[in-house]
Amino acid sequence: MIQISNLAAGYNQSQVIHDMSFKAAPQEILAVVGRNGMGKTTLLKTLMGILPLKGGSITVGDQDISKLETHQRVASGLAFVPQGRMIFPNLTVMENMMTAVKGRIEKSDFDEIYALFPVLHEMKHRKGGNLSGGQQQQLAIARALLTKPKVLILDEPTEGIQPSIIKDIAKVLREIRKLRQLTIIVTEQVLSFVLDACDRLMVIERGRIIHEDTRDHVDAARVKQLLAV
Amino acid sequence: MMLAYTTAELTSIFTMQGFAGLSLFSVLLLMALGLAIIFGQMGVINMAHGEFMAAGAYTVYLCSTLTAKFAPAFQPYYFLFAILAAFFVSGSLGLLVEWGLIRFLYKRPLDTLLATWGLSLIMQQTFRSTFGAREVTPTLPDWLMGSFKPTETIDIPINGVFVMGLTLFITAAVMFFTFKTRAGLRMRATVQNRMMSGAVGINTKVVDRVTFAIGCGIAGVAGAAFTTIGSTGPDSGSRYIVDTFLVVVFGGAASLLGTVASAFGIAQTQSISEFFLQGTMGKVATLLAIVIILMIRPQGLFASKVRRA
Amino acid sequence: MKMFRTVIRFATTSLCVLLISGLPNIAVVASESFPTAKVNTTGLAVTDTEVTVGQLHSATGTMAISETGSIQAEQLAIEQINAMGGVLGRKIKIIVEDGASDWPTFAEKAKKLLVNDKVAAVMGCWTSASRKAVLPVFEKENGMLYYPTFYEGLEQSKNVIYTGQEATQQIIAGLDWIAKEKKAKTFYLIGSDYIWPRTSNKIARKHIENVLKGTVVGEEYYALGHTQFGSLINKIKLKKPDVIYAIVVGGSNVSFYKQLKAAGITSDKQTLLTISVTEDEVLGIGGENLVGFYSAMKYFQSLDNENNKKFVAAFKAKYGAKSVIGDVTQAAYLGPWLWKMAVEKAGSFDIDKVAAASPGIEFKDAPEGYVKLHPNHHLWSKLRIGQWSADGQAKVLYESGLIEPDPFPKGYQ
Repeated sequence: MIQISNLAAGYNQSQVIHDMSFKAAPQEILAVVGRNGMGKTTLLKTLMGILPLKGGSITVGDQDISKLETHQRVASGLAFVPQGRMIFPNLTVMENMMTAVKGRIEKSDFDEIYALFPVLHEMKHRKGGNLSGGQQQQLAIARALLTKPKVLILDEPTEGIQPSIIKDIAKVLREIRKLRQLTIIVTEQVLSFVLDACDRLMVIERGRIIHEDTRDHVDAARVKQLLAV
Repeated sequence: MMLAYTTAELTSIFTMQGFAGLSLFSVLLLMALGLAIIFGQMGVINMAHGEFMAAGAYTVYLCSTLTAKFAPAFQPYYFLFAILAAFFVSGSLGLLVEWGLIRFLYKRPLDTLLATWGLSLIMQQTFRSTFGAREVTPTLPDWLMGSFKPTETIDIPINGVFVMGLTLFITAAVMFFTFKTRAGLRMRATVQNRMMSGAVGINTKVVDRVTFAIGCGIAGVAGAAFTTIGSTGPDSGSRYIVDTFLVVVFGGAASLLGTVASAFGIAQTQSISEFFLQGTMGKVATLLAIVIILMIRPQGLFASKVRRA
Repeated sequence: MKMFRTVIRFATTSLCVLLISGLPNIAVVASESFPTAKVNTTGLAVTDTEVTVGQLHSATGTMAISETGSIQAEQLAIEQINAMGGVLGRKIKIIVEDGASDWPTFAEKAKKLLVNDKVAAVMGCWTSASRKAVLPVFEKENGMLYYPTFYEGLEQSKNVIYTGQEATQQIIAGLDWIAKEKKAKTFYLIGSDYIWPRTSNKIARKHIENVLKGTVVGEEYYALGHTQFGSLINKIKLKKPDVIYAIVVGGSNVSFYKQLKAAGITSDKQTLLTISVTEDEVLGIGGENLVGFYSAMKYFQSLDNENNKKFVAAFKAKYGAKSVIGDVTQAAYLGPWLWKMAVEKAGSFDIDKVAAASPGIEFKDAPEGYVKLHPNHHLWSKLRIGQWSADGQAKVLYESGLIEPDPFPKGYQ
């Protein structure tokens, strides 16, 4: 569904991602794991076009999106739930969701969202900034889904979330994948979440993929060791 | 000083004084609205804001001259169309300026300051070369001049009422646009988080361009309205710019409601202190009050109360 | 070859004399009788055929509005002088500099004109601020400035000829007239907030209180560019002065008169006398907003005399039928002529000799009528009261006798 070939990326002079290639199949949930500062967020921001590409290519389906701007990539089927959620604090929950809607407002789209996240329906007139962390995470995912993506990209969705809710997020991701037939790429540091939610994991270090496992054959001890500081 | 007058006289004076305050309020608000959008929503300090007003005023002058030449019968009505034309002229100019200049400078506020200041000088000189150095006044329809006399001693200037009505209309339109339309929503989203707005599929460059153009267009309307109050010269814009920034900064940059409240406060303070003190001293008193309040509340009257992500 | 040139020069000179027969009646002088070495002992830019003068006004910036008329009038005068043979047989060449409405720029350009260009005289400045900025330069470098604007007085310099009126000339006779004519006892003084209106109103107040035995019921100033006069107008309505005495300038002027009219303060109910509205300002304000109000000036475009008619015709021929001439424009027109007369009286371009020769110079055919230079370098001139009509012209209702200039009036400071 999404294919990354020989990707090079980084900030200004410093290169963070080196010659990285991987792909994610349709309806696959792929986890990118690694310690802080190893290039996870840089990778996702480059996929979204928030950071410029220094080399290589990104294709979604059979469309090369390497040269597109962020909003055009969204139109081509990428959706992004960034680290820290980044909901619009001064907009209401409803308005936050509306920012993602292109064209006509379909009631069925919202029905689906409210079925997944009932709390958003209750709070639709609240300011986004006044929601709790877990509620904001739901809002951020809902907002991403409203762009009707083919590939959903999440950056550390469990960060700052209570452990009891982390399991719910994993469940929701799998549910969404089934419902929308999505490909999902998620960066993580929490291994239990990865094993709970994902089909496959890649470990990256210093901008390179150093290890890959499917969930069913995961070498948990080795991955833990790679994640240890 | 109040003893030697009859109650009727005093009532009339206070009515007219109340109106003078409201009239100043609407002038200040109209000036500041466009800037509040550009400065408040985009963080761009547009030093050429006054020149976009002047462009609107000159548009009215041009319309007036053309009407007098080609369609004298149309004279009583041309002014309303001229205001619309002023919006589009200043708005398109804004579009052009955003495309050619501002968009390269979004992350460099000081450079924007300098660039727009330079732009203001260029525009002033363009006005001077095109319309001459002397001030011009469009021929205004008769129904706009004169005054409305509810009683023998009260005169309410009609142009004041007109500007007030126009201000109400534009404010309502801006509020509606910002809070009730999708384009307004995209604008507010972009202000709050440019990166995230792109990531939900908003074309932030278009939003910037449209926002800037609308701000400039409203400046044009303000300029058009002010032809009923004063004359227009190449440097008219620079006369407005200080008051305009005063209103926006005092109101709190990120809030339209703050702009309204600030314009009201400044207008009333100035109008009342001008009445009881003297001209320049009235202005001094107003500025003093603003400085003191800004020392206590540096963020301005209204600041957003929610936590930011 | 030389003879051929002389013939040509003679031919052109006589042709010009024919063309300009309506101009001031001054003898044409040939340059041969005044060898350059004799008339220019201080190294000014004077050759056998040419003398260079400077022109220093604001062609750009906020003052360009006001100074344009002066620039035009001075150039017209110089053109006419050249057409009748120039000064001491030398054609006047103009170096134009732009003060750009910025006072330090004025000082810098003045220095350039005097030091680099060695000009024999400078026609220039408009605001008092620009004059104050260049004055030290003119005094240090020993230049000659012809300054056209009516101003607050309190100044006198060997290096400046003031062709406009100083404050007492413009104020006192006007107040006397309005007090007598309108039986005015109470006055409301209004001005823009800077030195000229403040000094002028100070003189007006002294005259009203000490001489006319009237009362000043209000005196206030508004920042330059102020456009909202609602509160002021309400105060005027409350205090009902016999006369509003207004010295508002620039863009504020337009708002002030428009708002007076909108508030129902018109000439049928209220007397208003101003010393800051000339035909130039009326263009912006609109005659319809001024109908019936009075201006006190030494010159109005409508002055009915032969010299003025010729001057107005020549001005319109050069700058278009729609152009108007205000008090300062006419005063600016006097500058080059007064200089020419002083140079020819002195028989020299040297600044000291021109300055010494200036007092006593009479310009009998000036558009405003007879004027004479006082030893204090100001002009003896008349004061007129004009009443504005809707077409933007004033009807002259009163004309004083010649008033002696008194830049340092005793009892008025």
